[in-house]
Amino acid sequence: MVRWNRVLPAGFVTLVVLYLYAPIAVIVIFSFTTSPRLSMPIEGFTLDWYVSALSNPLIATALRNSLVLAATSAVLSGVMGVAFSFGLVAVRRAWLRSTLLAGSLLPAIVPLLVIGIALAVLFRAVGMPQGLLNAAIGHMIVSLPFVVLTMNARLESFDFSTLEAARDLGASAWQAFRDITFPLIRPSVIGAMLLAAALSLDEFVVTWFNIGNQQSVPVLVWGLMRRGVDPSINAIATILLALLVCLVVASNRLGRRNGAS
Amino acid sequence: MTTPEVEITALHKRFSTQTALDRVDLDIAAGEFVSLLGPSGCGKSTLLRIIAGFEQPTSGTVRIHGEDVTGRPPDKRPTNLVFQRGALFPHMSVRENIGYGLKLRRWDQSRMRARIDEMLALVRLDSMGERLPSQLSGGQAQRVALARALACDPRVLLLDEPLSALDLKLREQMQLELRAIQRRLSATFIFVTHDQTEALVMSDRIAIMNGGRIVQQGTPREIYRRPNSVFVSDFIGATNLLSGEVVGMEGGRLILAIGEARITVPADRASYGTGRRFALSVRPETVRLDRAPGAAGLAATVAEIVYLGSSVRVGARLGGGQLIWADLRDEETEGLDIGTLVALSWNEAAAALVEGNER
Repeated sequence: MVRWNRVLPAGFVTLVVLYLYAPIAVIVIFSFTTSPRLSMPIEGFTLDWYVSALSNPLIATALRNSLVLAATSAVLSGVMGVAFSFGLVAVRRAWLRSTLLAGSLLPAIVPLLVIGIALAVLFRAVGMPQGLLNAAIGHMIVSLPFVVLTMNARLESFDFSTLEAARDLGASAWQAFRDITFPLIRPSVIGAMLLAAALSLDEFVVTWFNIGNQQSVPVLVWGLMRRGVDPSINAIATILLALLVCLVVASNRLGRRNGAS
Repeated sequence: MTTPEVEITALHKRFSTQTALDRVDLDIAAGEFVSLLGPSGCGKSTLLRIIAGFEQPTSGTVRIHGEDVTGRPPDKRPTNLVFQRGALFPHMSVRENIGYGLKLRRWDQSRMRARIDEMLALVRLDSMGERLPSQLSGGQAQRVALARALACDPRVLLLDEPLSALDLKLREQMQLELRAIQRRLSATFIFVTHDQTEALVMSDRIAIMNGGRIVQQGTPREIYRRPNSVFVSDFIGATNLLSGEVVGMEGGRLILAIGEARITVPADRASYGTGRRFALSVRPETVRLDRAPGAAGLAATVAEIVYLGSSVRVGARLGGGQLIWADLRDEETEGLDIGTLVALSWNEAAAALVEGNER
């Protein structure tokens, strides 16, 4: 006899998981198949699409640009976000602190379209021609709230009396930072920077409005898609996916190790 | 007298809205164990943090070993602080924690290792050197904090309620241990606490603080027996505060009116003129209770009997309604019942006349 009260929930969960992952799985699978079309049955497997994607100078440039944007965004929004979070915990008035925190997180919920257009208008007003630099500034705005959020969570549980203990034992302010603060917050900082890199890698809207005639991977893929589905797009998407998964997993692991200590 | 190890002169500290310290003067001799005792918000922690260099006084000076250290940062002072919650470095082992100050002073490896071993032995944690702070119990963590602070051989060790997070049994044990360590090293300790028992157990001298001032200082015995204010007598130990008025003098003794009753006390202080209101502090353990009819003393009626095991606390109400507590031995209370008529008396040397407002 079929036990419907068990089969139904299990079936539902399976459907949800399929819905979430089937499109991604399709892209990954077809990036390795010989057929140029998305068709069944699969005739054979090949790495040709990766070869043709990576040998395409347009795609190589776009990939390089994307990595530059991700690195810039990770480093700069990392440094800015960490510094800002330290300033934030030093604010004594609770209402001011929570207002500043909320204010710094707001860009995370402002529609990307608004941020993208606003930046484009601003850059034009100050006479900055569209390009990678503009896109990088946009990416920092997009990632900064997430860096602040991560760092703020870490610093709220940070025992600042350990810094006083270090000073008391003879450390200068710099030595206390080097020996105590930095080793303790390092996992969170790296985690936050990886998250910033991940957000930057697949950012499209803000990039598209500000990057001008340069290409990042998402912008290039968007352009290629308008001309029809080229199977090397599957390969690019899979590379991007692999990069993102690595970054997010690493970021999460660091965050968890941090929480355990 | 030789120069005090710590000399605090006219120290004043104002935070934006309130005065935390109000003209505090305090001298501490080398090798002395001094407790700063008071309720929360009395300024004791602020005073300690000013001595350590974490807060700057609004005015006044701090001298250590004859040298003015006011305005110096904490890393340039011959003091070390044991924090309330240890503040151990979580990413360093016990040995690294203890050796941190020595490393900053660029001690060489072998000398440092010997000093760390010595400190571990002092706090009886010889086998714990490689552990991380997260693997220590609360008591062990505080011992490491103590060892870390003592490793640099400070002139003055400052302790900011280091035992307050421990449970009672462990706290009592650590009190004796701390005291023993202080005696062995003949070090100068300044200990902040809000626990009067802790201060009585450990200190050579207690400075009682209230509202940013030191209201009384002296040996534990002096403070317990001769509190100089209602605040002190009430804060240190249990006491009966009898409020009344001076109604006359008789052969060098004051006659006091407490409700209907009259008692006399030695006029050891000239300032108590007729008509002056006062409080008499009488410790419960000094109160005697006599059931014989016509016995001398204040007439009262037993109103409460509280069994405490080692003693029995009996509350007797005077004619005026005031309740006086007496701590009696168990066998003394046999046959005593609520409503029994008694006469209360005490050795007058055991009672202290104190100034200050009644509660």
